[in-house]
Amino acid sequence: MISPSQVEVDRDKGNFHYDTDYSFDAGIGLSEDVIRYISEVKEEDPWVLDFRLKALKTFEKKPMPTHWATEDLKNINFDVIRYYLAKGQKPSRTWDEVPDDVKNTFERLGIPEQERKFLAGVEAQFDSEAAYSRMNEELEKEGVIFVGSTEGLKEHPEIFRKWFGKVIPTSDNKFSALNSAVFSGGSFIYIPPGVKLAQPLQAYFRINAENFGQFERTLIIADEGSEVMYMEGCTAPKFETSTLHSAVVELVALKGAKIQYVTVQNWSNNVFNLVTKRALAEEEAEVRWIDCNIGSRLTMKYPGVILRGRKARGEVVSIALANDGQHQDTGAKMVHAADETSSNVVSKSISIGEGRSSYRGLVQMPGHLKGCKNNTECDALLINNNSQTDTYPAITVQGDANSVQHEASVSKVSAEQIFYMQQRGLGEAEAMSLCVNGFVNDLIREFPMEYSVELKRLIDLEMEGSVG
Amino acid sequence: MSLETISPASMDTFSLSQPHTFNEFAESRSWEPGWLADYRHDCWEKFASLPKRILKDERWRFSPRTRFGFDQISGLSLPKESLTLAVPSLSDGLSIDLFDQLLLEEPHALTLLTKLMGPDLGADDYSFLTGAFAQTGFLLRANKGVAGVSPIIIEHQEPEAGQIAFHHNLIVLDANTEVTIVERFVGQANNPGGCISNLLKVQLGEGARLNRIVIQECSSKATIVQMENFNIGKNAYLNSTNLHLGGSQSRIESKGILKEPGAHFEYGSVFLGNEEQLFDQRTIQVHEAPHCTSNLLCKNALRKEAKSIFSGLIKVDEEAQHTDAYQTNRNLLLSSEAEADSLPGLEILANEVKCSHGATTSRIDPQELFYLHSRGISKVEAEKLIALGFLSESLLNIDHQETRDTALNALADAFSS
Repeated sequence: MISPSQVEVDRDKGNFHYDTDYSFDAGIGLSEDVIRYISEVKEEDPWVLDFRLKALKTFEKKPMPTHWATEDLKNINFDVIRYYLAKGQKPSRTWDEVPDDVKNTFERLGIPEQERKFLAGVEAQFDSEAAYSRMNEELEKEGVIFVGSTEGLKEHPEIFRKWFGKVIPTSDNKFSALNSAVFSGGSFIYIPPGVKLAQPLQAYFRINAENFGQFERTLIIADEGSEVMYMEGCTAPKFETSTLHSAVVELVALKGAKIQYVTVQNWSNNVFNLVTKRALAEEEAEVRWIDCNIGSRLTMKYPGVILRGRKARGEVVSIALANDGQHQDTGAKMVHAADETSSNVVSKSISIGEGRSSYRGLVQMPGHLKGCKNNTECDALLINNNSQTDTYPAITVQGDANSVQHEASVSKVSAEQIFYMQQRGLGEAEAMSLCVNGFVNDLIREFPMEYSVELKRLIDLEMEGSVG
Repeated sequence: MSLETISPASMDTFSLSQPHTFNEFAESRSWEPGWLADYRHDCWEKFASLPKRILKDERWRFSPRTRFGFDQISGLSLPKESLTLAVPSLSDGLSIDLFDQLLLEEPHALTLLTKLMGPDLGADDYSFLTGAFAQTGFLLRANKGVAGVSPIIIEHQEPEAGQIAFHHNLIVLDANTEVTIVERFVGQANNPGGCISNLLKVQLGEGARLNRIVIQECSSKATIVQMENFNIGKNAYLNSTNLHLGGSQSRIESKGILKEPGAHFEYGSVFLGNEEQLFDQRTIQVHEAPHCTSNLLCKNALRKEAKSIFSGLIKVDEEAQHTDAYQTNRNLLLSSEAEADSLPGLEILANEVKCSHGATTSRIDPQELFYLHSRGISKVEAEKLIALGFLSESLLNIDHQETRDTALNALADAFSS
């Protein structure tokens, strides 16, 4: 019989913070004045301010979704959060110009090395605004745009305004409304027709201040036949009080385009991570959400794809790891809205200690469509006897020309498996680690090399001391 | 005073939303024991204090709840016609009685009815109203060690249009007993379109076995609400096989609670939908004790504009280690307007478990159709054969041959109509 002990998560890489003086601070709490302040310092067009003010009203009207979601949401106090903190309005283009404290932060996290090694463009967001942003010059010449949300709306309205807030309307949910009211930072990306990025673009999100809410807004438009991979990573130091991160990410894949969106979420475990992510896939386009949730106190994130064009394809691949005090409430939404569209969801979760992981899914196929297919698999692994896992899919299929299959299983690492490996000379902890790695191995391979190595290491660390 | 003369079915202004309806009903039943009057009153109060409009209730997700409203109901059906029993010669220690008889002869036997809970899966209104208004129902009791040989047949009659029948039923099996019951829901020939609200509470003692077969053939205008709660004790075994054919709209709530080690819950359900039929099914398998097993299989085949909702949950408590639980929902769509909604859920708090669920929705494989077609079987006939084969899986597990044949024939007839 295995009697696992508590597992300690290695989050130390992100657990440090430097005191920073902010030049722009919207104060504590949320009000119309805060929104006017944010809009003013960003020198936004009047329509953006209107958009924000309307969103604030929607946010105030919308109830908390606690009729289905966890009661933990009630512990968010919107009145003590700081909604906007920035050192400056323009991101630096060269690493030398970045302020020292911010530079130290990102250097400790290894951002410049990664950029040199394999990235086509990088953006590093420090609290509300990007501190550093750089694009490969050749790609810039080809017309690739990689800017922050403020710059995107101001400098390229002809490209971004058309899709901004269209994939995820303000009133989608309470937190998308909040984000629409106070958004700042994030990436606005445009890939021109036929341009295929060989190397990924990366954004790095960092919360540095206590009681701060980060509300980045990302919009990626991949024009006809283009291809892009975007990666984001997130960290925050461990503070005494909880922090809120509520992003809105919209992807638009036009005819034949391919977007891969990779997230490695490693917030410290006092962050409420409430994110709305949705993509629109036109004819023969392909959108893949590759998602890994290791950190945060509560994550609620259900990446979706609206399959709007014939033969569009959507995929969500996700790994969640919930440890003590964590609730990973993740899932996927697949809305089929055209013939011959297909979607695939593979979700694996591991619950350790008192951790809880949930899968919520939604699949919709209306009756007038033909030849739509969905496949969903969710597997959960429970390590300790007080770990919890839930699965709540919702599947609606109309008509006799589509097919859906859903399967979920829950298991634990069996004593037999451990015994088998111990017989062959492996230690118990090693055996356990091997089993868990085997459980997620096929998904880890979906992540870019740099991440998969890191993930494997992280899981090994997590499993250390989990048996004994 | 005879019961018929004061039957509330004759009340002029019967409406389930009016307090005077209950007050007059209670008055007409003033001869009942005090504890029952209190229970009825308590249930009515709970019904009356339900919020009138709930916008978002997860327990009714995907369901057009208005189809289960009370506006059309103008009276209670006569209890004598509403429920009848066909009882074979019973062994000593095994008895089945009607609620209204027992009330006169042995009222104390009914107290357990007021103590056990319903499934509590969303239809609170029907559940409380059944508690308040039920005048009939059956009470099946088996003393320790008794086994019934042939099945007991219970017939629930669909009331006439505009009427509602409330049946409040109880099954208590002591240790090491075995009983088979067949519950038939029979359609109304003249003036169909009534509503049946059927609440069943079951308690199985150590090693008890209950085989229950439900064959529902109400009219295509009926409203059917079935609520059932199975409390399964140590090494006890419950096998419930359900065939649903009739009804304009049905709401089925089934809860199996595995209360002690070794308990087993086996549940199979088959629905063949036609026209605008709505089949709204909610199930929950609650594992409270270790070393229990449960297996649930719900199959729906939908024609025309029929719609099915399957919402199932496996809940494994922290103490329930060594649980083995399965839940499967399979939907076959036979027309372009049919709709199947599936909400298969898991909530697992123990780690030494084997749990899985699967849900699939699809049409008939064109290759299978082609195979039969190429052997001279017409398309219509081929579809029927494949759909029947798909649906009959659970029914083939019925042990009692006569009942199995009845169920299979009823299914085949429904398909031909």
